[in-house]
Amino acid sequence: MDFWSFVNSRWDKIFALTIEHGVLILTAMAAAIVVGVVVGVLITYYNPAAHAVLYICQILMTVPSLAMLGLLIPLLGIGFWTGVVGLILYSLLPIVRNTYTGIREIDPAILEAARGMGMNERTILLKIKLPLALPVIMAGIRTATVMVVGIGAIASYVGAGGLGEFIFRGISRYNKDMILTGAICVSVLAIAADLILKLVEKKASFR
Amino acid sequence: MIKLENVTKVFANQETPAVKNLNLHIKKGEVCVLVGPSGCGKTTTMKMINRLVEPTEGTVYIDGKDTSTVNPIELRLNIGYVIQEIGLFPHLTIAENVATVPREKKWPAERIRQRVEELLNLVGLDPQVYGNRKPADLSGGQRQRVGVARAMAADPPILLMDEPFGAVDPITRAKLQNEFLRIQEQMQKTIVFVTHDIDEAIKMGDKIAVMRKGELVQYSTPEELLSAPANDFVAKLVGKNRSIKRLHLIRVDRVLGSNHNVPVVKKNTPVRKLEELVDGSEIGAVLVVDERDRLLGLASAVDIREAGGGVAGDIYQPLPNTIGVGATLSDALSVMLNYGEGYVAVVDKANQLTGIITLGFLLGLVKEDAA
Amino acid sequence: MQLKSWLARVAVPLGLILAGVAVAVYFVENPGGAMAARVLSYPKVIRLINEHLLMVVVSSSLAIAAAVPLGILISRPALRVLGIIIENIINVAQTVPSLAVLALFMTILGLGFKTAVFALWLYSLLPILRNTYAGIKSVPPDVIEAARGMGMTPLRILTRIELPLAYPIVMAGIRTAVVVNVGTATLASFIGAGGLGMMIISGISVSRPTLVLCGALLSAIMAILFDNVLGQVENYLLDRG
Repeated sequence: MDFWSFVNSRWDKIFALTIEHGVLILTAMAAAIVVGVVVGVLITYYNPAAHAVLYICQILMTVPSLAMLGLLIPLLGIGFWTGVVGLILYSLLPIVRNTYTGIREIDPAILEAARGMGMNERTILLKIKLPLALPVIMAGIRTATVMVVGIGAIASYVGAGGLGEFIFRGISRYNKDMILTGAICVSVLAIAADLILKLVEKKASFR
Repeated sequence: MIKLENVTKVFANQETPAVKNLNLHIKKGEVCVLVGPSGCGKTTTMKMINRLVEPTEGTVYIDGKDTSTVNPIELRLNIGYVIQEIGLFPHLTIAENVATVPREKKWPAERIRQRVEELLNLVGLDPQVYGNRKPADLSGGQRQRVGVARAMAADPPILLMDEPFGAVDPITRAKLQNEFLRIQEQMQKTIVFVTHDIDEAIKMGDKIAVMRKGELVQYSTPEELLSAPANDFVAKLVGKNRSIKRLHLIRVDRVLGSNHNVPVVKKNTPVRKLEELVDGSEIGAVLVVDERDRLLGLASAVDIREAGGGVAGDIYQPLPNTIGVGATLSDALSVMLNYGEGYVAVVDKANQLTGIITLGFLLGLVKEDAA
Repeated sequence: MQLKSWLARVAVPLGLILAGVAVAVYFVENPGGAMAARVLSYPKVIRLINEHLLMVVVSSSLAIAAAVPLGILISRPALRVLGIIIENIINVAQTVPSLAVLALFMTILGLGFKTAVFALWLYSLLPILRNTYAGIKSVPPDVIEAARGMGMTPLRILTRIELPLAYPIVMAGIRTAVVVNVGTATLASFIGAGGLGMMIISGISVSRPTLVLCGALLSAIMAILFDNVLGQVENYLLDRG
């Protein structure tokens, strides 16, 4: 029962790091959604760029997250914002790709009908395309969020704070209870994010 | 050929049986259509024949053999199977799809190749053009043809067909039905055919089994079904304009036989003999055929009287109003109206006379219903 | 003609390997300071690459060997309920971050290479298992029904119908698993398993970007190389039917 006594003695720390982790993720995701959806929409209007952009995003994904974060240190130094930028870069691919395919897969007959009724492109985008693509975009956001919760733990290594601190400190001090606390908290956070966003996704697809 | 004896099927987790105490006897070479609303147990009944569904009670015999004693794989390899969704294997070519059962039966490659070619030709698909295509490249109607060809690949004596033409448009469906009847005429398979469409049942079936809530309501020929529905359910199923419908749906070869009294004579019959025969003729004429029963024409009472002597072959007149055996009674009626005659001769592909349909017969049919 | 297509096949992997060698040589020759030079020597770089490769290859091939048969097994109609349960467990387990998985097994199995291989094995098992199961389940029921009705045995249906149709999905699972595995293996350095992660970690802790860059480029090239080779294997097997 060492583990429970460890957890019981660190509630305030666990709470603080969970909040830190949450803030890190929310900041990164807010930025990634704005950038990802805008880029995703833009490339639906210009196909050659679409392939290039998606390819670049895919290459970004093959760079190990630890390396990506490490490479950002010379540019941004150690700290919160390095973590945020790293997380944004990783969450771009699922969001951009899903926005792009979500819009591309809309039945052309619907768009033709909208044009036929005299809607302009701006209205079509806001009233037809984005609402119809929403479930697919939401799925991309969910994938990105779950991934980013995990990478957020790695970002603790470059000083971004969060639950990864338990894991890294635990490893360096060989404190199993501390490692376990960090690993479990981060896993619970990821599973919770997944479940909540699944519910949101379901709501979005009923429209 | 196929015999179902007191067959009952109760599915797990269901209270009411899907099929209740069913008895059915299907003769060799017969097309038996199982028809009824969805959920009536017709598909379940069919699947009990190839043991895709095992009966809860009762026995299914094929050629007198209890099927539950036969290895199901062995059983199914000898029963052709076509379903509405067709279920073509999307990763295999058309030729490979058709070759499935022969391959399972380990036929030599050359024999399989020949058989596939033969079958694709039979269903009207050029093997050179379609053999190497994938199912996705074909239209719905073409896929159905491949499904039928695949089911017949190893020449099984029995075919099970579950709504085989259900997923295509009405025009293609009619075409496929006619083609199928043509093929069946050559093949003489024993066929169990499931459909919810009574018109299709009447068109395709030698026998029709009407099912409702797992029970057999009526099992009879299409004619009996139309003229003597067993109860209100069947009457409603076959619909209101039954008399007109019958003309549309009954193929002439179904009603040929003793429904007329028009004498048929060989061309070497003496005219003197004809004088006696023509008196009893419903249409005031006799039909003349050659030594192989091929239709030559007709000799009217006037022709016969004026000729005085000789043989029938000298005096007949060619007969333009003929129809093929595959035509319906409605086709027969329109030919009669076109030529202004009260009869039409029925001939097969080789122009052999197979019978005659008279206006009196058609009127009789319609009157029977009106009564 | 044949030579040409053969060349086209090996050109990309060969190019990637050359790029990897070039990166390694460049950084060893230009370590950018004595601190980095301590890590960036030829024997050390080769050792780290070897460790990394070994970790990925061993864990991935064991994951394929275990996940594909298991996926087939739980897709059998007789095990339908088990299949659904396992599918749901996988869905939850896959959201557990890779660092957490490595850390969890370190607390149980201790530091070292074997722990890392085990954690990587388990982590790449999930996508392969899920895709094998989903791939087989995605075969349309009418296709199976037709095959059954024609008298194919369950084994023949599996080998001739289900597996060929599920194949692209299974392969996609394997590719994803291996690419992710190359990245996750960099984290294995934290639990003392060596590999390219060592370069990155030392680079971060002594603030030497060249070390980080070298490790990043080498592991990214390795991930792309695996993806490309597996893609070619996929097409090759697809052509042979």
